[in-house]
Amino acid sequence: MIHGSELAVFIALFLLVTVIGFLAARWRRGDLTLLSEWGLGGRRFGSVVTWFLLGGDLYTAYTFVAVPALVFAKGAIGLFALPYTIIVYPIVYVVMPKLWQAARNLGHITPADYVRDRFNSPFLALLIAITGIVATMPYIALQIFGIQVVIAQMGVNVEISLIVAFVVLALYTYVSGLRAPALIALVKDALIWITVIVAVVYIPTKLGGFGAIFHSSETAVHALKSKATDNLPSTLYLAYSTLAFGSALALFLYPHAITGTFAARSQATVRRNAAFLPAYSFMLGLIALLGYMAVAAKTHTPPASGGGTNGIVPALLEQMFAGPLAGFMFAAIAIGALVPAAVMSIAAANLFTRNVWRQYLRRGGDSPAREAAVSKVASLVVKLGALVFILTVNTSEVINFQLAGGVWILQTLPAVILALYVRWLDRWAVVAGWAVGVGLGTYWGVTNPAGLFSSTYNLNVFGWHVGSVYPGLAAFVANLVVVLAGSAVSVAVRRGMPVNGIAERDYLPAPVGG
Amino acid sequence: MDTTPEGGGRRRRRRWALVLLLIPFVALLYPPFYASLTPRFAGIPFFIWYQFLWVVIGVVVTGVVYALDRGDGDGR
Repeated sequence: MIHGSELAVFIALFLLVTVIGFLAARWRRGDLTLLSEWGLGGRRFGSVVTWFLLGGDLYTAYTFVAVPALVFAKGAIGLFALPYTIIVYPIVYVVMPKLWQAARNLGHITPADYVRDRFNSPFLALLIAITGIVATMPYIALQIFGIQVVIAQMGVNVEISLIVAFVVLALYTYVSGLRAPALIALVKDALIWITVIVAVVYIPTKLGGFGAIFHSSETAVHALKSKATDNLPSTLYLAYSTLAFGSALALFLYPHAITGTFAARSQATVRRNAAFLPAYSFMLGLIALLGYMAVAAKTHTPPASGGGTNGIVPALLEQMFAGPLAGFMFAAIAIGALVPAAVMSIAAANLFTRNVWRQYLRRGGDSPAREAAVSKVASLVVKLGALVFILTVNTSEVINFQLAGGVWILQTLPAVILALYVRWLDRWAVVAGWAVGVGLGTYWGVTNPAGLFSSTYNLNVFGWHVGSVYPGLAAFVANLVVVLAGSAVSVAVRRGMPVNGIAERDYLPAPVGG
Repeated sequence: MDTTPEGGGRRRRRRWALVLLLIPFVALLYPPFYASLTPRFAGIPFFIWYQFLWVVIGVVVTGVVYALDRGDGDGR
């Protein structure tokens, strides 16, 4: 059944965003034939625009759908999103300004650009670029899935709607580059904030307050009808903290997070955002509580949603707000998918252009205009690939790929972040560490009895039972040991420092007027 | 840049301030410390409201470190 009034509001908001996407090309006009203009918005975004862009980019539509779905299905463990998105910012505060400054001084557009210069190794840069692209593809596909679950709730033909939405997104990203998601993020965030505030104020009053909501989830758990525990069982302590810590380390290694950061105007812009982005973590926590509300409201997961309980948020919103208000909220989620999808496709395209095409396919580089042209086409291909991915592959498989991508992207930490601080890293040790981390992480993911690429793994190390942990973090520890031990051996054997293509002064701000 | 005594002092203060950034890690990465249903706040279990509270404290901590950082040469 098609819900007419919901659909009307939804389409109107979608059209508004489309117009903004195309007009963005004229905003803070720059020469869009340059990659730093198309792909990084000219590195001129101030604190407020960066806050909207990164908030819209990191807190994705899929997150908004999946986190409450996890809370609904499994309870307290799903709340690891809170510590994760709190402790990520102290890390960002320390690390990202330094990486930003080196990128600014040396004209880096991707994290792999930094790795290439730092280790003087196009090969290591290629590994980092491929890891980034592979981790990003399923993430884009899941954004489309986020749109899919809300469209399905409105009773519209899913395939055709998705194709239309994504062709439009692809076109304005092609034309406007990073300016499009930056401007759309203003609208997205306004819609999402309104949705969340209305939902967490209205739904509890209808369900008899938070006391009643948590009482009913506890009763349901007690009657074994639900696993939505309000408190974390002691068997999951280690899983909870390793998931939070590992995810926090991984987040700003994702190409879309680094692209959003590199587009900032100054180091101070990056620091201010590290201080104020947690506002979105608070919002994400409120969204997570929708999972408990759905338990209390006895919401049924719609059969059309696919991927387990992932349709629970649209179903709850439909149950509570049927009509134009639900249409508004569905549009908020769907538009919320467009911002990260655009930034992710730009980031993946830049990695391909800078670290694969320029380095290997057109040796010696090419004109900046040609680079931008290649990146624009690559962004189309990436989005098309993601669309085909979600329409042809089973959603649960795409989710497995995304979980695997999180494990893999974490293994790039030594090359991108540790390299900022430890001068004696050897590039081959970093390559070996990456291989060990990706290899172990993949092995654990594939052989996990809890499910393919499940987020927890019952770990034994040489007979010592560690417990249930996030396998990505465990693989990273192995990676780190190889990198440090290998580099120490390299320094001892060479009796000197390994190759380091970046001088200390390259990390310092340029002198005033210089 | 930091050759003046004043600049050196600021730099030391900034290094010291970065230690504050470790506070949220200590407060959140040891779940036995807060995995409890009580005391409740407005019907919300402790496990949940404690973490919401730390979002706010996290902002304050990073904000304080930023305030101590300002004027360190990159505030432009």
